[in-house]
Amino acid sequence: MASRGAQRPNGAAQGKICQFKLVLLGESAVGKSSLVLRFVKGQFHEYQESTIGAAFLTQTVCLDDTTVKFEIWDTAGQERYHSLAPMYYRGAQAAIVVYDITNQDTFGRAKTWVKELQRQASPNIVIALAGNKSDLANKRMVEYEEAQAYAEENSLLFMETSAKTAMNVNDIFLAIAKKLPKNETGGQAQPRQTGVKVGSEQNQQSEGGCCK
Amino acid sequence: MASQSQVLFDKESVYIHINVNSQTSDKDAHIPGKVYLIQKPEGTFIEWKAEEVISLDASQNDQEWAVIGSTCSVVNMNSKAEIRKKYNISFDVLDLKSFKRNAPNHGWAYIIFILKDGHPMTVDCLLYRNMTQICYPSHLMNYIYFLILLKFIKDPYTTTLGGFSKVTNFLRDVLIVQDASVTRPREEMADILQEDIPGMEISQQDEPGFEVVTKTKMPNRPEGVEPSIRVEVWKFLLGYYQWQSTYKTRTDERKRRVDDYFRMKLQWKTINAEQEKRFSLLKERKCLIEKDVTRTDRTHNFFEGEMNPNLQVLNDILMTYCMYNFDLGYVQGMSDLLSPILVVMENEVDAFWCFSGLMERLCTNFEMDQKGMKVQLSQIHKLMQFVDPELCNYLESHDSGNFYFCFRWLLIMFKREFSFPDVQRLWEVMWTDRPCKNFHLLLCLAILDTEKNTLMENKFGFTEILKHINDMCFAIHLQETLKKAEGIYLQLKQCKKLPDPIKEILGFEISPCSSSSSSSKTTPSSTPINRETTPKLELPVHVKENGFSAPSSGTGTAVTTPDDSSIEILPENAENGMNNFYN
Ligand SMILES: Nc1nc2c(ncn2[C@@H]2O[C@H](COP(=O)(O)OP(=O)(O)OP(=O)(O)O)[C@@H](O)[C@H]2O)c(=O)[nH]1
Ligand SMILES: [Mg+2]
Repeated sequence: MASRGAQRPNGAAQGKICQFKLVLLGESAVGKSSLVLRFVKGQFHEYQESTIGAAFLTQTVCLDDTTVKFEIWDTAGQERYHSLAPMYYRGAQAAIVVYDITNQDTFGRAKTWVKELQRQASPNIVIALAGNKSDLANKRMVEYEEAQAYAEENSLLFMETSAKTAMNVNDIFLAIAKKLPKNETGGQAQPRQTGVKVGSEQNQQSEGGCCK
Repeated sequence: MASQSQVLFDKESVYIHINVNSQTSDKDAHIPGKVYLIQKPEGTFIEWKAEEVISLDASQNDQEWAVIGSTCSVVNMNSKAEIRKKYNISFDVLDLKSFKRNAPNHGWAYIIFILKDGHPMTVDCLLYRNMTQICYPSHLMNYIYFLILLKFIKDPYTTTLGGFSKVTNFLRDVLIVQDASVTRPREEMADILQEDIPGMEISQQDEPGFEVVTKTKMPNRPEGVEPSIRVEVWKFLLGYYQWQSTYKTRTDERKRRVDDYFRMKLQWKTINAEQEKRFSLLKERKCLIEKDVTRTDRTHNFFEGEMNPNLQVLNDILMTYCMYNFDLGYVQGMSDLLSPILVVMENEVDAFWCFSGLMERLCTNFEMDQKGMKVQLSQIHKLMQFVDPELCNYLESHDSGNFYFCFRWLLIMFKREFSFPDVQRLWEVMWTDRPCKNFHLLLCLAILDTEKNTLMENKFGFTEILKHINDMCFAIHLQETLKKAEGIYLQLKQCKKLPDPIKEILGFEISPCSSSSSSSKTTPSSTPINRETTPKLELPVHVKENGFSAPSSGTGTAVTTPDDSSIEILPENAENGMNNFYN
């Protein structure tokens, strides 16, 4: 974890902490929860149960001299629960829209999510597109080029990921962290209440970056 | 029955408990039979006859009736059927000295009859077993009330309950819940259950060695249904079998249901790939079901392993349910509801019909507009406003007035929060609709009460609350929480200034000239006087880990009746918190 994002091209202020709200969207069973679980706990569950309502997790990464804390909202994918989504992407600085490379329909659904975010979410939201289950390349139904072209058209970050093998999982979160504004106020998510304790494994002691 | 006799009332699936003295779980201690109220030339009789064993040619002769003597112990049995007949009961209601009924909160009920000529320990117990949504046979009860009242009037002295034995205790320990029954619609029963029994008033005199069930006493909850009979009981609870059915009608019904199930199963089974291409809605649902079946309770041994055949059964039932209720279709969460049912039923057809019975109760949770969920969330809000304004204010001022963190609890009835055995027990309780309508909402309140200090002391906001609640799964103590919820129920029940909306939620009777609703309107945004010193509703169970102080010791302590003056009635703006969401 500590080695992640260790490059320091320019010296950002020491010990700066930024907090971002990130939401995962995408059709059911594309692997949203699995991506989060991989990113936050380094685990993968073959039989990850479906998400009901939403789950909230946090993870902190170090980027140069900045500590970036992600507040991650993992949502339920099924269309029926669509009406709840605005509650989660409202105020989000970043979103990962996930599809399953072995299922064309999920890619179509991802595009719908992108459209909705572009229309309804914060105007400066950073959107990443994740083609998950890249380990199942032999069952591929969505071509890399197709998705990449779409992502470029819509200025999305794009990566194919695998929660199972961990391929590109940390990378996509890191790429998002890099793209997020980290100036004094802009990057700061809504100031949290004091004394917030978020029970993630990663200890997010406030002062001092974790890269040192 | 003799021809001059007229059966005024009868009821099947009433069990007698024959060996109340020995602490046994022997099922033969509970003999199924039928109870009658019979008008005979010589008087009105309550009779109970053992269920006929199929092979037995029961000659229905009045001579066979006998009142069980003072020894309730089991005679050694060679021929069950013969022996069982010995327990047949018949007595003139005028010989009845008293009867006692247990508090109706347990999910089961029993009645104990004590005859005048019985010495104190002569307990003729006629157990009216009902598992649940059932109710007492109102006819019978009304009739008995009437007769007993008459008796009291006629002969107040001899009808005192001095001989009342401490039956509750030893009965409680041996009672197991069994196949059940009841014929009366729930609504109709509600009134009767809420009323005090005349006999109970009298039995409240303090007699050493006597235990009287009073309505404020926290009852010891039975541990749910005896596992061996759960498979049958659930069929009744979920409306697959009718309470008034007989063995014969059930057999017929089941045949019909089997045919019906396979007819519907064939409907989707016979759709070929070509057809499916033009049936996108079905295909979509099929995919969704497949996705969920592979990740439903795969750590439970019933579903674990790569090629577990039970996964196919889970899949087929859900697909067939799609055909059964195509308008609703398949929605995530349903597989969670089916899984414990299939584990209990271990049979595709039975599991299907029980599942569809459960969906009758919960389908609004899954409807497109999510109306059922919205309504429940706002009901929790309303209840919380009344029961614990402090916590309610806290949640409102921390972006959580929508109570959205209860979503998972409500959607799948706490399925993800408890272990399988606990889920089974919890669901049984809920399906009885006892002690009141929407009892599960009080369970939500009970859990939140337990977590109150954690939420407030840590100044949790919306996200932290949701995370905390999500992470609580398998950490909730079911029995304690049920007790606490029941405590809340009892307090609300006794509260004289209960606002009408609360009564409505819990299915309490709304009195026509209720002053409560007006008081809630005339005191908008009222804060109680002496807020600091006013005792709030005290919950009967206090969780010490959280630093709650226990006002009285132990479980089963009497609930303190809240002083009405201490109850804060807030303006009815419960919807407000909801408005931000679901837009
Ligand atoms: N082979 C493979 N399987 C994956 C991968 N990611 C997730 N899965 C599997 O896909 C299934 C669904 O994953 P989830 O993470 O539950 O999907 P989700 O998007 O959170 O689904 P909802 O909660 O229903 O919206 C699970 O069985 C995972 O094990 C992956 O990268 N490779
Ligand atoms: Mg998920």
